[in-house]
Amino acid sequence: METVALDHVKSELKQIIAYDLDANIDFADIRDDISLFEDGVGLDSITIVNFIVVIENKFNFSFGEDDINARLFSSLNNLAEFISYRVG
Amino acid sequence: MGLPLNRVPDLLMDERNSLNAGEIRDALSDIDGYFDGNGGMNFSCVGIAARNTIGHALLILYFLEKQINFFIIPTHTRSDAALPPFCDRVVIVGQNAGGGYNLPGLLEWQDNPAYIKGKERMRAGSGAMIVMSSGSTGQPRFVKFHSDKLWANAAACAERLRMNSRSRVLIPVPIAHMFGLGAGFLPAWITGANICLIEKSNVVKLQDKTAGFRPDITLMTPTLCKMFLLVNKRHLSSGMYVTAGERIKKQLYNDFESTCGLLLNLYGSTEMGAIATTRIDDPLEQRVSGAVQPLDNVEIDIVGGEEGDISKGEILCRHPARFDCYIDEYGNERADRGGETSWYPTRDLGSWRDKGRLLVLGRMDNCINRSGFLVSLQEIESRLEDLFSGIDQAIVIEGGPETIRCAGLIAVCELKKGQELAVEKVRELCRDAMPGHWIPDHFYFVAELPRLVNGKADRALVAKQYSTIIRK
Repeated sequence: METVALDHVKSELKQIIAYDLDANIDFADIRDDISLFEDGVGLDSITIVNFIVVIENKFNFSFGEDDINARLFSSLNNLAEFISYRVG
Repeated sequence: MGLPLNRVPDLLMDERNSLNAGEIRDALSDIDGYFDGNGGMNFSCVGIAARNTIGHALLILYFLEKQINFFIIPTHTRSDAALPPFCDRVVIVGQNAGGGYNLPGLLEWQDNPAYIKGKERMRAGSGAMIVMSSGSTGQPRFVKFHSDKLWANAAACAERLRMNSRSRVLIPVPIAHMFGLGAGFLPAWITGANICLIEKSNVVKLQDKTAGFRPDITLMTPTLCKMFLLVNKRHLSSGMYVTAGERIKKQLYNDFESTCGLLLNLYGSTEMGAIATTRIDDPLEQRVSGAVQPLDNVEIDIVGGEEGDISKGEILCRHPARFDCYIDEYGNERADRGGETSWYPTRDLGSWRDKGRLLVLGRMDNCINRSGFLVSLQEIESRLEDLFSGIDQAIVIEGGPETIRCAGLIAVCELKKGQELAVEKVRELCRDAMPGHWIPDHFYFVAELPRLVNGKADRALVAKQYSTIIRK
């Protein structure tokens, strides 16, 4: 059950990155272990803030005071696991 | 003036590596041995795409110390773009794979195919750093600094920002630009401050390093301030922040100071380096206004005020640590060279405020004459944004019907989510709060302004779209 939820979150995140953000990357090219920083998707400051807002709206939760850190955004996997835990 | 290599920071870190004082000395000694072993590598000029890593930063320091001419390749340059012919070599600095920090092992040298031997006009080893101007006043130009001037500029900055060996300086803005290099990295180095470099101005990394490195001075941009405020849910406060670039809106300034800490504004340019800053001791009200005080020994004059307002005009600057000259692509000095004692026209519009403070109002190119008054469109935009809390960003452009004495003005304003404004009400409030020649003839309120990929409003597209509407 948890795996299904995790896969769903990953798929949603990939859709956001590919279609909602100005990240210039195709859906098919977004791997689960891809970094969201410049060594991967390459989200800049503005896009990351947009990404955070879209995630909060789509998954109906708010990041907490200590949640936003570089490790969380270092891979799509990490971010998906965190969201899956928070909304599960 | 030589580089104080005998006085190194206790800590120099980037996103992957961290060196203590002994390791920094070893890395500099390694690179010295490497150059000696290769006959001093007598370049005419070497190109380097400076990134915010330890390797790039130490190599730049070494070039400055050894008076090796180098050209900082602009950050947006494509990897296959041709370099100017005055560069004979290019150095690429790789990433350290872990273990010890082997700087020479990270270097890859390439010839510049555009280089024409015998055509160069730069004497090897003459201590020149060449950077490109932003081109905001026209074509980008090659700006040549002597290393002595860079250090003098850095020393003045360090003094103004009160950097010392106990400081912890976080640099998330590019050291490929004069702000990151001349007002951040070099002043921090010269004082022996601990230094942390972040690449790509990423706000999440900035938040991480603010929590982990605990800087007392962080270099910012207005956009980064805004993003940091949005993401910084922990209300992290870590010393003082220094920003450069466009003026920060009053609301953002106040919010940032109350959440994150003291915010200073730095005014400078590629050619002059740092010119002026807000003072740490100035009251909040004065800092918010954006009024800056010239650095020690920097002289400012304001000239060319028009008939309606002589207090406002172009900012001229006389700077003891200014650039040497512009050069052409072959390294020839251009005829428009100025000297240390000459007044440099900044093409910025400014006016004096109390206590010798200077208010930078915007670019001269973005000014028009209305009823005999020189009006800065950026100044009107700032005033609209400060007056109406519902306006997120205002763009004011010239356009619409023109009278004999007065050019037409159009204001296109992006509203905050859920906000509405009535044109007549806005016009009425403008009449109470600003001179008549400032008030735009037409107002448009939009949910979203067209934006460039870097997030800035696309002023050119706004001008094109709305001047067409008015003509119709």
